[in-house]
Amino acid sequence: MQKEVIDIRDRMVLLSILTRSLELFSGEWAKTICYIAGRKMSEVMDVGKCESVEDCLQKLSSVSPWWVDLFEKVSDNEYLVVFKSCPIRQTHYTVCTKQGGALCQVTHGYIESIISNHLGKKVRLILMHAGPNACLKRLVVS
Amino acid sequence: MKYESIMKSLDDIIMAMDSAIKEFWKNYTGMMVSTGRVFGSEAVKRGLAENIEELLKEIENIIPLKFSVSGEKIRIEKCIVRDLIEMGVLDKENTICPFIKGFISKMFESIGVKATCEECEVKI
Repeated sequence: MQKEVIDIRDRMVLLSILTRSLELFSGEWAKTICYIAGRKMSEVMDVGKCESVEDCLQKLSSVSPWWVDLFEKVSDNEYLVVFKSCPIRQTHYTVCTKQGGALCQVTHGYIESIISNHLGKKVRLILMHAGPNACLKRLVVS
Repeated sequence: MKYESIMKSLDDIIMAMDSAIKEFWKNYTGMMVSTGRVFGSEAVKRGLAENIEELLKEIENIIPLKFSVSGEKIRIEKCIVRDLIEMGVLDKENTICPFIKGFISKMFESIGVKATCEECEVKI
């Protein structure tokens, strides 16, 4: 195997082991730790000025490894978004772990924090479907 | 996605996880040793190792580590955490080292050996 592939795989293994262990040791608190980690990641990420949720998602996709697309605008404060590219999902599929667990909270913390900082409103992501190529989530702005 | 981009994002996530654990648990060293031991006890249930050599291979298959044995000395030759410290992703005082220490000590206990992991060496 190429060195690059091994390096990436090693990191993914470490991440999934760490999360699984935290789940075993602290139960639901593992989700909180992962959520905090996601928020911390957003502190160092600057996506520039955003006018709306759509704009935010577009800018976020261009500067981060997450590629998030708006699927449907349900109402003024509710959107359906598709996570097409996500390092967390890649980790799940590389290491064969289940999607939707504590590790996915890193994505939630990260995306919620970035959008919420730009809009000045509370934002919540709710997982609707986790798939091998994309995940569908409901984004609620309140 | 390009290799560098994936690598950077994974490094960022690991760094953020380390920082989040430190924020969540003020006494993170003890907590992470316990976390490692809990994970070890889970791994032991599926383990088949009966001696040190087999056990080291089992550990290498679970965590990205490489051991070298010379006589009584067991050295950790390759360690993902050490690599991340050298790259500046993690501090020397990180949360993953105590986790690996706890995991290794629990794994060794399964074959009736008391072991501690210090300075990249397993001391029996």
